[in-house]
Formats: sequence, structure tokens, C-alpha cells
Amino acid sequence: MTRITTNGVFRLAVVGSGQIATQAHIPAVLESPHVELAAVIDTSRSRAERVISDFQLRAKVASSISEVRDSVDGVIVATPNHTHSALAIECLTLGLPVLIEKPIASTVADAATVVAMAARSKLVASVGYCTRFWDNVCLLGELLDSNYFGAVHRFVYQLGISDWAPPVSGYSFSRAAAGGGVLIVNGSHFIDRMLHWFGFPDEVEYSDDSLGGPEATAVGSLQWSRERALQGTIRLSKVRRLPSGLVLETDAGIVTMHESAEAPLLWRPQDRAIELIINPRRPRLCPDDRAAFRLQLEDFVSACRNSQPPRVSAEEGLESLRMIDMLYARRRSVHEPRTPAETARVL
Amino acid sequence: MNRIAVLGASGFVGTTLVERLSNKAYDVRPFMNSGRDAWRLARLGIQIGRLNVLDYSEVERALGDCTHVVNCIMGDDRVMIDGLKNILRACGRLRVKRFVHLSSITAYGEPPPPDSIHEDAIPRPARGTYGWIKLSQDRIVQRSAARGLPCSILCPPIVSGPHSPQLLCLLDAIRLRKFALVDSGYAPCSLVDVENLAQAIELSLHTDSGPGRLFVVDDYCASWREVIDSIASVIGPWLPLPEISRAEAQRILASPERPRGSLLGTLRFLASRDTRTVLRRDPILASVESFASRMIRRIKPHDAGRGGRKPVRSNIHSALADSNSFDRLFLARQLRGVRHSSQRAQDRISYRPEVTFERSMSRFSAWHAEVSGQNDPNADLIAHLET
Repeated sequence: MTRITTNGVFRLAVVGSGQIATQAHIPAVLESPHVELAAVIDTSRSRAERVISDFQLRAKVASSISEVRDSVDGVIVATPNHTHSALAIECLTLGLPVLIEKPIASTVADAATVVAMAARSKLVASVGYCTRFWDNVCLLGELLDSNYFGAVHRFVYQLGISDWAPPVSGYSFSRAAAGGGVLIVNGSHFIDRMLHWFGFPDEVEYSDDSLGGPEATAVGSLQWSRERALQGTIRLSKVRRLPSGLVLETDAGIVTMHESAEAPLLWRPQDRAIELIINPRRPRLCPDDRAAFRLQLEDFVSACRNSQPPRVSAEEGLESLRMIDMLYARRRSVHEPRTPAETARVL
Repeated sequence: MNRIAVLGASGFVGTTLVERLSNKAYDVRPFMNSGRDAWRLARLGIQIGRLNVLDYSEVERALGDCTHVVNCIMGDDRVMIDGLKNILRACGRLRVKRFVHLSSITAYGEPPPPDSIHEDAIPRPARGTYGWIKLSQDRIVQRSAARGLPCSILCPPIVSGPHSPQLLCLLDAIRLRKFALVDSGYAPCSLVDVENLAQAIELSLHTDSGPGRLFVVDDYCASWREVIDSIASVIGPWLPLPEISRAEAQRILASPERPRGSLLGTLRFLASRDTRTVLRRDPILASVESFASRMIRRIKPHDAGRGGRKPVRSNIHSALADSNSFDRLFLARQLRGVRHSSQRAQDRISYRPEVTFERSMSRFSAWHAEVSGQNDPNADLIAHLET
């Protein structure tokens, strides 16, 4: 059970003072009237102190969660991937609900332990797939649920980014610390959405360019054959900027959603040379990425207060990781031909 | 045991070099600055060091156990000049066996002098240009060489191959219709495949080539037309390309950089494909656009008939293309007109290009098709993301 706060404000601790904490979670806390940042926890006290000073916070600096156990109501874990599960379990053991930055863990076994621990403790454990709070993602989910476009036959999701700053610690250059490369670090947001909309696929194929480190490009093919006939492709690159987003081929035509919180849904009806923009008939809740983190935080706080499930539960975080694990297990290596002999083989 | 530090290892040349040296079981120490572009390097699964070359003590610490140093760093003027001085100072103090510096053919100027077929031509880059910085770097390296540090300076032209930023820039310019072929593209386009350049760097680590520059180019100097033809599978939708004369290119380069507003310019903007695509989203504007397009189509075939063999689309685009919007960099490069020779590199470091021009461009096209999804069974769906 979540403890009752003293003044109605939810007191939060953020573990980690790196890129995702300072650029997303702490600004989200500061924007929300329902939450107060009570502590910044980092093994490097000096880094935590710098964050407190940069944001002019009155929060406490600590080097472990147990130090602030009695002065906070919940914790955000925003540390390198391989530390997520241990910190989440520590929070739950101490009786603190936790919002875990994605992915929930770097192995399926660790993720399953978090899920089991959350169930046993009856505390909220949520996973930070913040794009689920985008207006366009919510709208597309509703339209797919209501069968608005009829059956979905094929989809392609493409994400191509370059010049992407690594986290402060540089952990994402280590496959062991990140749990993988572009698939788990950047592609997992779509994997989460895909599982939410379509469920687990029946067959997968996967290839990437890893030569021992985290992969920079990855391609996955997915097939659903039991409950629906659907085929999908996921294309990810961290070395080439590409037009990014999701394209669905449906009974009713082509539906496109570019990869941005602001992007509208575009619908090109079958056999018509027109393109329609679909907007929800309600005020926008999530005008940008920043708002997505605030909405995610408020969802977590609301789940804690009302003992209800969060929008992205630990179970769903485990499913995403299971999907990623399955793709990595089917991994086929693709690498660029280097020598003339290799080139000749490819050409 | 030799240990090779590669500075600027996350860049295009640096990554290729690290991959090559690692595959050949060299002991390589890659260093980078911010790591924003290090994802291709990181996939190798080797330890990557962070290094701020503006901090001398950090440089000396990083290079402490290295016998050879390769400098592929790109950055602002301070990094390029003050950073290089720190690196050379540390190399001198640590008595490294050889320092290999990646310069550029642009050090000779834009356009380079006609006698820059060979390295002995006098460099004349304009002050403040990238070539000027590269020449300043070369002089700093040569001063260190004069003080006894074994140094090599390699000068590549445009570096090609998969991931080539310069070829990707060319594609972007073509896609945005900012690229025009000058004089039908018959001017030489000096290229070196990134693998050939990495080979030359590797050879330089072991061979004393003297403190002078070495040109490193492919075995064959293609024309711009041949370069365009070799990537036709990638740029198909944008062919044929606009063409202008050498005189027109020179006029554009001599004119002020910022185009002045004009009624004609505005009309050209309205007639551009990108603008029309946006306008078509509104039903009323779409009908106006459709009417205007029909009018243009009625007029243009007559022009095409009189004008000879150019296809109608090419004529329309030529008429609508704003010559002032053509990318100046590519116009200047087409005016270089020099076929640089790597004879000296062949003589001094036994450089023999491994990758031919054709193979280099095939590799680039194959890589680009793969990464952009051109060969994907769902390429038709991917195309919807382009608009």
C-alpha cells in the first residue's frame, strides 16, 4: 500500500542525475503541481549536488534509496539500464512504489523478478514508455480498437536518427550495460506500442549490425497468424537520419503517423486521391515530448494514490523485454562488406 | 608492442580505420570527443576513450602508452588548431614513433591551382575557409616534423564509400533540387574510397614518407557525370538533373550569397514541387494548382519539341529551378577541374588502392538502398513517410 502524504503533495525521489533525469524527469516533476522533488539520489554525490544547484532545488542529496526511505512517497529510477531492476526491487522492498525508466531491466529474468516483487508487495511499479501518452498514439489506439479502419494487413515502423547524444555515463556504448543497442534503447518505445495494439507476434525474424557492441542498425520482421493476419517490419538506425514513423495498410487505406508527439494522424482512403488529417474532438493533453513525461508522472502518482494500475505496468514492461529478447535470440548478423572479396560476394 | 591511438575515431574515416586496424589485430585505442556520432564505432564492442584535446594534461594521459597517433579530428577552429598543438606537444614529449595527420586537398584552395595534380603546387586557400584551417594545421605538423617528430600528412579529396557524409550531402542536394551538373558533368571528380584512405593511413604508420603532403586518391578519376550515373539507382526519382554552364556556375559563385526577394523568385517558389505538394492539401488551392499544372503541360511540349532531346520534365524543372538556390559547394567542386595524382603515395608508402571507383560507388548504393529501405518488401509503405 502507498503511504499517505503529509500535505497532499506526492514526495518523489529521482535516482540518477544523468541525461534522462535532468532533461525529462526532473523538469516533469517541477511542472507538476501534485508532486514535489524531495530527493536526488546518485552514487556520485557531486553530480547530484550539481543538479540540485542547476535546478535551484530544495531537495535532499543522497547516495542510496534507504537514506530517504521515510521522507519520500515514490521513486523514479533513471539510471543506466543494467541497474534498473536491482534499484526497482530495492524500492519495492523498502515499501516504495516505483516508476522505472524503460526498459524495465536488461534481462527477462530480472524483469520477471520485478513483476513478482511488485505483485507480492502490492505496490505500483510502472515503466517509462512515455510515448503511450502522446495524443496521436492514444487516438490511433482508440481507432484500432473500434476497428475504424477495418483490418490492418501490414505495417512498417521506421526510426532513423543520427547525432544522438549518449547519456552522461556513456553506458549505452556498452552492450552489457544497455542490454543491447538501437533496438532496446530507441526501438523499445514502438515495441511497447505495437504489443499494446496488436499483441505478441507468432513469428519473428531479426538482423542487426553488431560486431560485439550495441547494434547501430536493426531490422525485424514480424508475423501474426493466429488471431489476425498481420505482417510488420521494424527498421531502426542510429547512423542515418531517416523519415521516421509508422505506416499501416488497412482495409480503409493507408494510415501514417510520423514519430513525434505533435504529428497528426494522416489517412489516405483506399481508391481516393485525397489525404485526411484526423484530430481528436477533445483538447490536446500532450502537445510535446515534455508533456508526455509530465502525464506519465501524473499517471504514476494517480495510480499510487488510488491503488489502480498505471498506464504502463511492470507486466507490460516485461512483455516488451520478452519481445526484444526474442528478436535478439533470432539474430542474424549483417555487416557491411569491407574488402574487395567481401564486396564481390555481396554484389 | 605498438599501440595506435586514433583521435576523432567516431567520424567516418576514424571509424573505418579503427575497424580495419582491429580486424588486423592491431592494438588500437579509439578516442572521441562528444560521442554523438559514435554509434557505428560502438557496435565494434571495443573500449572507446573520451578525450578533450583542448586539455593538455588529458591528452598526455590518454596518449601515455601509445606508440603511434592518427589524427582524424574535425571540430571548431580551436579544436583544430589549439587541440592539434596539444596533441603534437604530447607526441613529442612521449616520443611517439609516428604521427599521421589527415589533411585535405582543400588545403590547396577552392578551386585548387591547375598544377596541384602533384603535391608540390603552392597552396592558396582563401582565408577563413576550411582549406585555410587545414593548411594551417599542415604547417603546424611540419614544424613538429622539423623538430624531430616523425610525421605523415595525407590529403584526401571527397571520401566515398558506405556512410560517406559527402555523398549523403550530394544526395540531399539532389533530392532538394539544389544540385546542378556543370557543363554536362564532364569535369573530374576526385574521390577516394574510405577503405583506400584507411589503407594509406595504415601504410603511413610503418613508412617514413617525409614531412610533405601525400595525395591519396582512387585509381581512376571519374567525371561528375560518371559519379551521378553510378548512383542512378539511388537518385532515380530525381533524374534528370538540372544542368548549367560553367559560365553560369561561375556567375552564381561570384554573386552575393543571400538571394534578394523578387516577384520571379516568389513565383518560382510557388511553382516548386515541395510547395505544390503542401498546397494540394487544401481543396481550393489544389484545384488552382491542378489548373496551373495543366497550363504548364500544354505549353512545355512545344518548347521540348523545339529544344531538342531534353525530356519535358527536365525542361519544366530547368525553367522552374532557381539557379541562385543551387548548392555553392557542389558548384565550386565541379569547377576544381584537377585530376590529383597519388603517384607520390605509391612511390613512398607503396599505396595501391584496394577498392576501385566502380566498387566504391556500388558499395555506397547498396548500403544506401539497404538503410533507406529501398529493397525492403514494404518499400511502398516506407515511401508514405517521405511526404
